[in-house]
Amino acid sequence: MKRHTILFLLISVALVSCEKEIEFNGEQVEPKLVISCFACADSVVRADITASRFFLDSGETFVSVTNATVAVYVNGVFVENMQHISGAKYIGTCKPGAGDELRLVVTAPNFDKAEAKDVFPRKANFLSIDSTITAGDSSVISYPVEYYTHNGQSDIVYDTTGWEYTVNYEYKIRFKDPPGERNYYRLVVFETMVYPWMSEQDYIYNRNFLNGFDDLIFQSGKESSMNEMFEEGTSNAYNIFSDDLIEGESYTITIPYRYHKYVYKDAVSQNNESRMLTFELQTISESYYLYLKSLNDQNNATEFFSEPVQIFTNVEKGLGLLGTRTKQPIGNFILSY
Amino acid sequence: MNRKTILLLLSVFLSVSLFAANVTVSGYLTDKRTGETLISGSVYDYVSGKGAISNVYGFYSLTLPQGRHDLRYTYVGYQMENRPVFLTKDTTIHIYLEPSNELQEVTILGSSRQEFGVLGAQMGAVDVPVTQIKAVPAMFGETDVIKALQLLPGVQGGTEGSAGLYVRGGGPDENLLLLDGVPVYNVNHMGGFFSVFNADALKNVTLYKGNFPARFGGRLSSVVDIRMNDGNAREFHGNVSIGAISSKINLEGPIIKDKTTFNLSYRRTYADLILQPILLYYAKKEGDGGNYQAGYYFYDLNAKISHKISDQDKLFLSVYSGDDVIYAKIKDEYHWGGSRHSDQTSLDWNWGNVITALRWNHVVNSKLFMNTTAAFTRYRFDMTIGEEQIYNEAGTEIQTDMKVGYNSGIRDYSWRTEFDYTPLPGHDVKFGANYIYHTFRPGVSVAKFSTNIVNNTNIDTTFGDKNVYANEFMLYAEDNLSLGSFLKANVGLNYSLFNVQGVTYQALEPRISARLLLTDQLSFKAGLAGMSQFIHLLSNSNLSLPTDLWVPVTKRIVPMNSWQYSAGLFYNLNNWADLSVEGYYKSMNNLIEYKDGAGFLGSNTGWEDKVSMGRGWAYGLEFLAQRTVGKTTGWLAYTWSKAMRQFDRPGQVINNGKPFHAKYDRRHDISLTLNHRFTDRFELAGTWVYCTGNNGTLAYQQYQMPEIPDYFAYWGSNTIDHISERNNYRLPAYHRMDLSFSFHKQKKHGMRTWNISFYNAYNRLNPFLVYQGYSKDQFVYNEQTHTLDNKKALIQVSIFPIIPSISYTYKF
Repeated sequence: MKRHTILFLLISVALVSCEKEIEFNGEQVEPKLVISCFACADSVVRADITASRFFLDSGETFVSVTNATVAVYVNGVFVENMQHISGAKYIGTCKPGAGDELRLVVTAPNFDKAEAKDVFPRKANFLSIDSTITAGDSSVISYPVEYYTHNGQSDIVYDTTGWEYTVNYEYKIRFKDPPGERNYYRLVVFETMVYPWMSEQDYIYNRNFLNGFDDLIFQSGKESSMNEMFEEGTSNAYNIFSDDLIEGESYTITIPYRYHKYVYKDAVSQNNESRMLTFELQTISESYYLYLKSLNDQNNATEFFSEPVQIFTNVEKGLGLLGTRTKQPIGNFILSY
Repeated sequence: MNRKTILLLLSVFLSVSLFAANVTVSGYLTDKRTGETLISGSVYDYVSGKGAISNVYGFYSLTLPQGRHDLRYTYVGYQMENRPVFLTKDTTIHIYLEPSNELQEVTILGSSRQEFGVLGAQMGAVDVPVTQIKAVPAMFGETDVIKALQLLPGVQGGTEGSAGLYVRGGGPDENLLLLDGVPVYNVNHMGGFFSVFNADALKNVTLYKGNFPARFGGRLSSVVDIRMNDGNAREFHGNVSIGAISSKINLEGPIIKDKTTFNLSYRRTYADLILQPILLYYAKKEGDGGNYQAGYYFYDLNAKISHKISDQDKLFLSVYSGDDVIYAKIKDEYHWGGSRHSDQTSLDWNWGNVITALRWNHVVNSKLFMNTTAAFTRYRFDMTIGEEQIYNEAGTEIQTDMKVGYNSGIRDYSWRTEFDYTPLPGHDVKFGANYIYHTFRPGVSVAKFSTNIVNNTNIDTTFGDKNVYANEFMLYAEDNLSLGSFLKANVGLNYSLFNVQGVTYQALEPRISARLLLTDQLSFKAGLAGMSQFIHLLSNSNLSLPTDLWVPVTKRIVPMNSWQYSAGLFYNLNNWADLSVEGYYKSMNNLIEYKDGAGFLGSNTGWEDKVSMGRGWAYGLEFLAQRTVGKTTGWLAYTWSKAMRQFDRPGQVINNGKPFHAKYDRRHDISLTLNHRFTDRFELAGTWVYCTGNNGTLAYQQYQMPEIPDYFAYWGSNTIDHISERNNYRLPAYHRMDLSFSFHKQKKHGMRTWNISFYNAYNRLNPFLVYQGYSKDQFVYNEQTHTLDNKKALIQVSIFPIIPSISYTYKF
């Protein structure tokens, strides 16, 4: 339906419309410092410092600011200047913790001084996690399937018989929201393909970040923008949510996971693959939440007439974000069938 | 019996005696030639200095002391009539005014100074005769009521070519458009480029943009009161008009002379009829033997029958029906392998209004007039997409039929009873009640699949939101009172109640406006009005799309309300021109605005989550100079205004909670409308408008998308577009001139008119939208690829260049 609406509009407009270049009569904006710092409690502080560009300036790449001075303040006290590593990347040594206020002041030649601050939230009050199998099924498949063999070989193998397994898991993560304050959360769920030959360091390259869960709690972290009657629903790409729905209460997030696997008679190595799910409940600052939410909204705003999305920033005289988070690991689950 | 009791009885007796000494003269004010009632005609008594205005049904009532009086009846464009009378009892005088040949040559804005001009208490209102609307040059020569209203001060159009109304900083859904007193929900055709009101069927249009009389309610920003012609009671007349995109016919006359009349108007566009042969030609040229049908048209049908039962009773039945239709049908049929194959795809969009009103006018007595209206109004949008296939499989002819449909709309049943009461000289009381039963159909989809394949499941499913029902009730009372000639006031109170899904909202709003007559030609007026609105239109396209949805307030989304304060000076320049300057301040609360990224194409699912509630304020100064008599008429309007919004409630923040400009916040708005009749055979009309550009949102800066921790971005842009604030960019100024040349000639049976008009006569390419694109003829050197790349540029899209049109009208 959306397609037809737009088609109708485009036809109407195309019949008579014409285009021309015009002079920009708005405010000319000089490049600003962009701070990208997503600090984690009890970890060293890292930041990327880049420069913004005026939207009509030529070029498609962005400038990394390599000669910036990035001063770190914790609870109002100067701690250190971050060290430039490479490109836009800077790193410090201090490890502020939950409840600390982190402030970055960035200066660089030819730019206005930019600064931002944020407070690390308290760790989430995690209570429990339960895992259950809700359904399982297996069947024989008998159609040609092509797949790649392991170890980076590109040999294509055709298999004609095998087994198809489906196991539905359900994870219930229970936590308690502290009353009387606004809290923001992010649930991080990783699905990792684990092979017998793989070391733990390799896990990160075989990870998928899982999102798009139906639990009601994730509705607060997104805006519905598409025609959900005819199109797919919008996603909460970062699994963020606020405590609007659960203020001061305990809540159980339900995460379903469908483990679907083919087993082929000739693909021994692939048959040995297993899965690992990793859960982490992060508390994130309001700024971090608003930033991720605005990124998410911008990604979802696909309609022609959608209101443009303002990406949140808490940087004064600059752009970007200083966001803070505090991790609460929940656990790893190896899946079998 | 003590002295106090005696005094009390005496005063009561004196009061009764005073009442008894008053008599009332009443009746209908009508056009002598056609029998049409005249709205806002004036009756004025030179002896007592009292006056009255005929109401929207042409009825007037004036209570005066017994004795001799000199009554003067006037209506602009008509010869005045003087009636010396000696009143000893209540008297009925029906007045038939003769159209003035001299004044017929002119068209007049603001027909009644008694009500809206120097003398009246009402301000922030303009009475626009349909003759004036017809004289305004229009796009494709299509006379348009709404676009004529856009030329008035304080009223702005939306996007280029759109028939939207933005009144005194309000939004497009804050206008109550009444056709014969019944709300019209979808007032636009063709994406908002034409309004649904066919001027041939109309008698009078009044716009209220502030100081709303208490009899109106339910919208924040304006009331457009449009009245249809009753039909000529004496003779059969009509006109036929053939234009560039549509043709119209209007017929009117007596069914029973001076008793029963009819008025019938029909308009239809015919782009589809022209398109069809072109489509077939190209289909054949491409060697495609398929059967193609596609097109778009809209039509409007207005019909009204009025019947005079007696001098005291009249009945009116008015009907409006109008639809926009888009259709496409592609049929491909062929034979292969000795069997028939057929594939037919069809698309039907159909949206429009139906309005029906049955009205009963009853003169209870010379002081009391009653009108009761039972009405039905409905707007609906139906969409169907279907595919029928016939093919052969293993010797069996298989048929499949798939259909997907979508319906939405709103339906009202309403009842309104209103009274006009003139108990005493200097009082004109109106009171009444109104009840509306709303049914909101927020969007229902239907999916059907049927086939003759054995063991195949047929589908017939309906899904979507359920209908929402609501009750709206209104009570009002107002008194248009005169305290001597110096002070006149309209004081009223409006009470409204809205009940939906177990929630009830109420509002009690005072409406006050007062006029001080400083000299015979200069008056000062001031007033305040509170307004509430219980329904919203979900649309963020800024065009009028059929997918726009009306929805009621809910538990979370509470009614909008506003307070408007205004004051102004009104001056009559020796009967040569009327001048006015009005200032206003309007505060609005619980406004809704779409959240970042929100869209509403055809679905209201979870709409409450897509909007934020906040506040707005608007203020401005409006100047109007209008010449109402002579061969040259027209007006010059200038508006300086500002409209702001702020959404800073927790969880509903827009623009970081900071104030921002409303989309149609335009600082300057000028319109000049002129009409000059050179001879009886040639007439020239022109309009010129200039206004500050609309606001849009542009991302002035871009920066690199950072890596988000604990996340893998598989796709998406590497760039973040930074928007400093909503509506931060002012589009280039808008200006346009329209010209219209009319050539009249008296023929044996009537008058023929050729009209040649030019919309956007000097071909100004006005901005429809702008976006960041690339220059076609400017390049920059790319050091990375060593190529010349097109330079980034701001691109403006315009949709209406100069549009000439010609039409032929024969009036008999």
